[in-house]
Amino acid sequence: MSKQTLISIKDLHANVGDTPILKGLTLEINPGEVHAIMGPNGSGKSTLANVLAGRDDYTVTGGSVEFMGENLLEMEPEERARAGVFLAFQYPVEIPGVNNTYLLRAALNAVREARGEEEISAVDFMKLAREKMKLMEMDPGFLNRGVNEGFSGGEKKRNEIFQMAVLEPALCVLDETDSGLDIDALKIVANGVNSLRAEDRSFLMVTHYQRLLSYIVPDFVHVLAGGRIIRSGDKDLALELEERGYDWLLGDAAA
Amino acid sequence: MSLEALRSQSPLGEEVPEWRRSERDATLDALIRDGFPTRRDEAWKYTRSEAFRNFVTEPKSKTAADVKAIAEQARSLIGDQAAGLILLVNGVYCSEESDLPEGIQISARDSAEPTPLAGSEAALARLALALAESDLTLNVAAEVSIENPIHIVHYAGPGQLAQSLMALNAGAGSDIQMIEHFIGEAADTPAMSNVWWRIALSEHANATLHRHQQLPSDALHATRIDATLDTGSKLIAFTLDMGGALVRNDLNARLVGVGADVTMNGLYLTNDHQHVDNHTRVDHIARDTISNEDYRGILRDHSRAVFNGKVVVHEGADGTDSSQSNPNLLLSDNAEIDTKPELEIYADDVKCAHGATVGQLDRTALFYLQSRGVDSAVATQLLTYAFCRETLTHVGDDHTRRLAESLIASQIPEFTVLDIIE
Repeated sequence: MSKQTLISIKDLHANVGDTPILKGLTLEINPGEVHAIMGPNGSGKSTLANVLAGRDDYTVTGGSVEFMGENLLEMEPEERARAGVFLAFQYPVEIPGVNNTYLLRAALNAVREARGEEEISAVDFMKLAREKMKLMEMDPGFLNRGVNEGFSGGEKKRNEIFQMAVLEPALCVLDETDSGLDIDALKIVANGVNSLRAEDRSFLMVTHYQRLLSYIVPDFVHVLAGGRIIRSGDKDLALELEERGYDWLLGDAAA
Repeated sequence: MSLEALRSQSPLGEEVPEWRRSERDATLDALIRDGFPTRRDEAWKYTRSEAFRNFVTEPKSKTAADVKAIAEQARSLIGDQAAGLILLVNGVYCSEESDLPEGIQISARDSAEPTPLAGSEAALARLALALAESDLTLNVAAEVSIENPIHIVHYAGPGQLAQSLMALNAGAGSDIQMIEHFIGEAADTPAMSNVWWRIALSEHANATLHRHQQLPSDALHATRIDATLDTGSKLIAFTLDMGGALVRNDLNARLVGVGADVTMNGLYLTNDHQHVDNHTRVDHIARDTISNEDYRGILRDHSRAVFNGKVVVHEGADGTDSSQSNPNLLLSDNAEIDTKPELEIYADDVKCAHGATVGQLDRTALFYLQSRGVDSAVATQLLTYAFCRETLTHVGDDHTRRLAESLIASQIPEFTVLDIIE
């Protein structure tokens, strides 16, 4: 592993229940890079995203994941978050009774503590939150509601990117963030993501469609099928997939 | 010992009017005749009444209570935003320690209860009617509006049977908030508290009754509320049960006036071998009446809870809007909940929704919080608290709600984040 690699996934195997989903996935991401993972339904895209965040519905059965030199697989989900891994959920959860502001501030302070920074003051926090909400074109009233409570599908996705913008993680994992978004919402989400692109921040975007990649242009595109990456390329691979589908690659993999 | 022995326990003095004496005698006769409910009584299928019965037939020795000290405890409990205090020590009304705002008067009843209590299921209410030490009716004059809550503190000392008859007559257009506290003192001998409320709301009256039950863990507690709501009136009842070994609450609301609106919420937080039973009943009698009900519980250890929510929409009660839910979190394999919604509808154009769930904390929500850097222990507390707090949505003003919230938070081990949740 080279010194600047942010995350190094080697021969990763993972199950849901007794069913193997990931079957030897290998991927390296360097700081500042944007990687897109595409692939047919059931290929393991969301599994990869969730395994990286530490969801316990998935069991890792083999391989390794090093994140900034640490063994990511041994960390609790909250430890991963504090270390700089952020998962934007495919289906963000509604949590009535837990206030958005409260959660976000607790999350930010947990991350800051891990970075050795002081707690953010209430005033500075509100300033930061307002600024980032503006970026995501969100109504500040959302802050006073329960987490994702009564949000539309698009609002939930925007809220995920908003949280990401506040927390400034090193690795942003986006699990089908484009699903269920109309074109205007997609542009806002893409705009938010693009504004976060930085030399010290990387992205792993799981997506079904090339559409998202027209707005967030990836450095690398990988095709995941049967739990492994069967083809990698640049953004042109996504365009080719859009045109030709996955069958020609799946044929290759079988042969 | 037999119920017959209760005849010697009468608290009535010489100067008691004749109607009261005959009411007491008739009630005792009925109680002795019908006895206490058994498991063959549908409403007592999951809760045994023996502990209540045995308590009243084997009276403990009376101990003198330090009323001054209890009054002090009561005042610290209610804080500084109180419109008044009604203190009852072992069922006895302490007028010298109580105070009430202008527009509200306390009186004793001047006639017998109009509707006789029927059957063994009414045993506890009969017991209160026959033998309660106090008989208080709060009269709120028409159009009187009291901003801060009036606190009613019931203290039940060790070994004591603390019984009160309570009534509220809320005049037309009046607005009142009450918080009722049930407290005691942990000792070797358990206490029993038993209260029967009758609430009558006149046209367009608003009343809120929060009930915070924090009796010692060995206490017995029974309450019954019979409320009648006239046109356009609104009742909010919130019942929080935290203490007691055996608790039985009956809450009945009759919506007799057009547009009457009742909210019945409750929360039971049980552990050890606690048993908490909530039976509620709403009768939609007039048109366009509304009932909203959300009872929920968190059960730990070997504790057990019962919820029975009956809604009857009578003929002619068109436009009824009724919702009921009873979610439960079972946090132990040995805890048990018996939940039963009952709907009877005899009218058209009616909206009724009900649902009961039994489960654990939402794992996806837990993971979501963790994935944002929140400790799994803190995430668990947050979700537990949030679950409880849902019962307090729209029930009372900020002050009243906060009082309940801090009680709930105190029940969640090591929970410290209350102040930053708003």
